[in-house]
Amino acid sequence: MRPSETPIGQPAKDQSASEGPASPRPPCPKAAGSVSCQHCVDFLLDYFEGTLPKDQRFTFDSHLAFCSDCAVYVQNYGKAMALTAGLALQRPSSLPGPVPTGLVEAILDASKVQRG
Amino acid sequence: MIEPASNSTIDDQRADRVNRADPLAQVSREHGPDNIKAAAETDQHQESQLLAGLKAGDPSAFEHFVRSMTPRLLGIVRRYTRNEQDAEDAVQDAFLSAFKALDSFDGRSSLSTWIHRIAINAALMKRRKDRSRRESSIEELLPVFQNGEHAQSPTPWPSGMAGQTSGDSVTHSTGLSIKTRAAVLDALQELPDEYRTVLVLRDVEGLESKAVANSLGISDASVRQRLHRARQALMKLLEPALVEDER
Repeated sequence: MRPSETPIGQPAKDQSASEGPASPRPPCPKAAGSVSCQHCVDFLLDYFEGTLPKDQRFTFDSHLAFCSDCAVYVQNYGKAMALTAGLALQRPSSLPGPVPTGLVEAILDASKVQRG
Repeated sequence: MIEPASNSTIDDQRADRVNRADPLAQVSREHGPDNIKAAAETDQHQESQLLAGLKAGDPSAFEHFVRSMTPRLLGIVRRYTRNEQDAEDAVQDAFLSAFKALDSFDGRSSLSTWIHRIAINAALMKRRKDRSRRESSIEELLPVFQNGEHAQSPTPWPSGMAGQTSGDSVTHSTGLSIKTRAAVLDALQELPDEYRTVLVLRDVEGLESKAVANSLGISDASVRQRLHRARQALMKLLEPALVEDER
C-alpha cells in the first residue's frame, strides 16, 4: 500500500490495533516473548506508512494488544503527524492569491542591488 | 524568452496525499507514457534554460522567476508566519537568499523545490522571537527507555484536539485551532534545523521521502531516520500544551 492511501496520522491498516485501551492494561509483557517497547517504537515509521513486513506487523500488533504504554505512544505519534499535516491546509489565507502591489518590484529591485 | 519551469512538485504531491488520487496515473491514462516523457523533458529543458539565465544574471530570467514563483511562495509561507507583512518579508528574504546561493545550486532538486525550502526556512525565521535562542538537542527530546520499556508512561493526548469532528486524527477539512496551530509552530522552532526541515518538507508540505532526500542531498534512509526522530521530538515538545489543554 502506498503511504498516500493512508489518512494522515492513522496506521495503514488494522487500525483497531492502535486504538487506546478501554481499561488499564498490564505493563509490557516481556515474559510473553513480545518485542520490547523500544523495538516497538522503532517500527512506528513503517507502521504508519504501511511498509512494515507482515511478520513484524504481527509482532507489533501483538505487543500493542498488551502494552498500554505503547498503545498510548502510537496514538500520540499519529496525532502529532496529523497536527503537523494540519498546518498545510487550515488557513484559507494560505491559498495562492493576489500578490500585493509592489512586492514583485521590491524583490526585483533588491535583487538588482544585490547583484550590483 | 524563458518559459516557466515546472513548479508543481510540492503542491501536486500534497494534492495526491489529500485527494488519495495518483495524478501521474491519471495523466498516464489521459495522455499516455510517451507524452508524459516528452512533457518531462520539456520541463527539464525549460528549467535548465531558466537556471542558466539566472546564473548568467539575465534580468528577464530574474523577472520571470520572481513573477512566476511569488504567488505560490506567498501562499506557502503564510502557513508559518504570524501576519501578512512577515509573509511578504519572508518571500523577499527567500529570493535574495536563493539568488545569493545560485552558484551553489547543483540541480539535485528542481528550482521550485529548492526555493520552497528556502522560503519555509525564511518564514520560520520570521516567527522566531529570539533568534539567538538555542535549539533543543534532539537527544534530549527522544523517549527514554529502561530495559527496553518506557521509562515513563506516556500521557494520552486529548481526542478532541483542534476542532476535529471524528476519529483520532485532525482532518484536513477541519484544520487546527489558532491555539493549537501556534503550539505546533512554536514546537517546530525548537527542533534542530536538520530535523525540522525534513519534518516540514515531508509532513507539512507533503513531499515524498525521495524528493526530500534529493532536495537536501542526503539518503532516503537518513530522511526516514530524521523524520522518525523529529516526530518523536515534536511529540515531546507538544505534550505540555496539549495535556495542559485537557486539564
